[in-house]
Amino acid sequence: MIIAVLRAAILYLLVILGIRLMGKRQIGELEPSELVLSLLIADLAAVPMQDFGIPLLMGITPILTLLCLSAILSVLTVKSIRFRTVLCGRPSVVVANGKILEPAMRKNRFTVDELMEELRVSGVADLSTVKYAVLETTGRVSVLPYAGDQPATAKAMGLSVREPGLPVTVVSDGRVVTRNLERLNLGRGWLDKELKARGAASPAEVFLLTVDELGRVYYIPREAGA
Amino acid sequence: MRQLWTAAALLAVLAAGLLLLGRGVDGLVAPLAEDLTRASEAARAGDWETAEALTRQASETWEAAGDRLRLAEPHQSVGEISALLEEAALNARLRDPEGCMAAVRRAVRALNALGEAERVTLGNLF
Repeated sequence: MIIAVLRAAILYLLVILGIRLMGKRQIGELEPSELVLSLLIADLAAVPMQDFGIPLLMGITPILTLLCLSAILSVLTVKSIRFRTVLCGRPSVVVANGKILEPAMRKNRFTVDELMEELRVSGVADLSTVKYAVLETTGRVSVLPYAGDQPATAKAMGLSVREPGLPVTVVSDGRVVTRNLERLNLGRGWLDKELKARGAASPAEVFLLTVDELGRVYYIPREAGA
Repeated sequence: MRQLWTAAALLAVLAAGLLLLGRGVDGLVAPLAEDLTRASEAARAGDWETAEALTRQASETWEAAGDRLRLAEPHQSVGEISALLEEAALNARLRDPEGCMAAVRRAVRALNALGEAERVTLGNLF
């Protein structure tokens, strides 16, 4: 039965590699070809994992084939707009100037119930506040409210605010992320000083420490006994 | 573009490797099928020494290639052919003409099916 462990491990690592090669997308935002790939890879890996009579090669070969084809298609999608349209489709405007565009809804086989559901998920309960709603190629709906219905911004109110910084993780679960420390032009000396100021003897006592561009530090100590 | 060429190259290598593997299986299967056919004719003619030698040789050749075959072929198919070849060799040793010819016939059919499955044909594609 050790064979079961080894086969499962090999196929699992292969599937992870495949998902990793697909790039930084969440499952909910996959293009149709990527969604198909995810489903197929999962099924292809499961078959030789369960049936030891099937050679591993019969699972690995189709998975590798799909990964290569996916990589080729994704590069072609980037290089050619026409190819991208064929493979991924085009976004469709389903609400324009507050009116539902029925031909677009029918063309996309998108029901009013589905539209209302997507609007609610986007935090919009009143259709009359929607200037544009676009059905994206991923199936999600992007909503652009009327200017008067958009949340007030500091700029709209004539307020001057400081730009926020992007927090960068410097210590994660007790380990110093040296690459990030160097990117911020900070050294271990600075880190040790900050830790001392917060009562930590070493990075091992820190669960999370982030620094942003403005130098603001966010610190969470490790729980006792963790 | 580098990603595209890398993926295309990997796909080409995979396809070439598997084509070679298929040719290898075919190269093993075809001579075995021929030897078994000759063994069957020898058994029909009463030449049991030849029949026994050919069936035993076919069985040993298949066993020697077993590990390699199991890398790419369903284990059940490989095992079935092993059993059929052993049966043919046993029947040849026991001088049982009908048993030997029947086992040889089934073994040849199974070998041809395995070889056929590796060929790029419309039937296999669809």
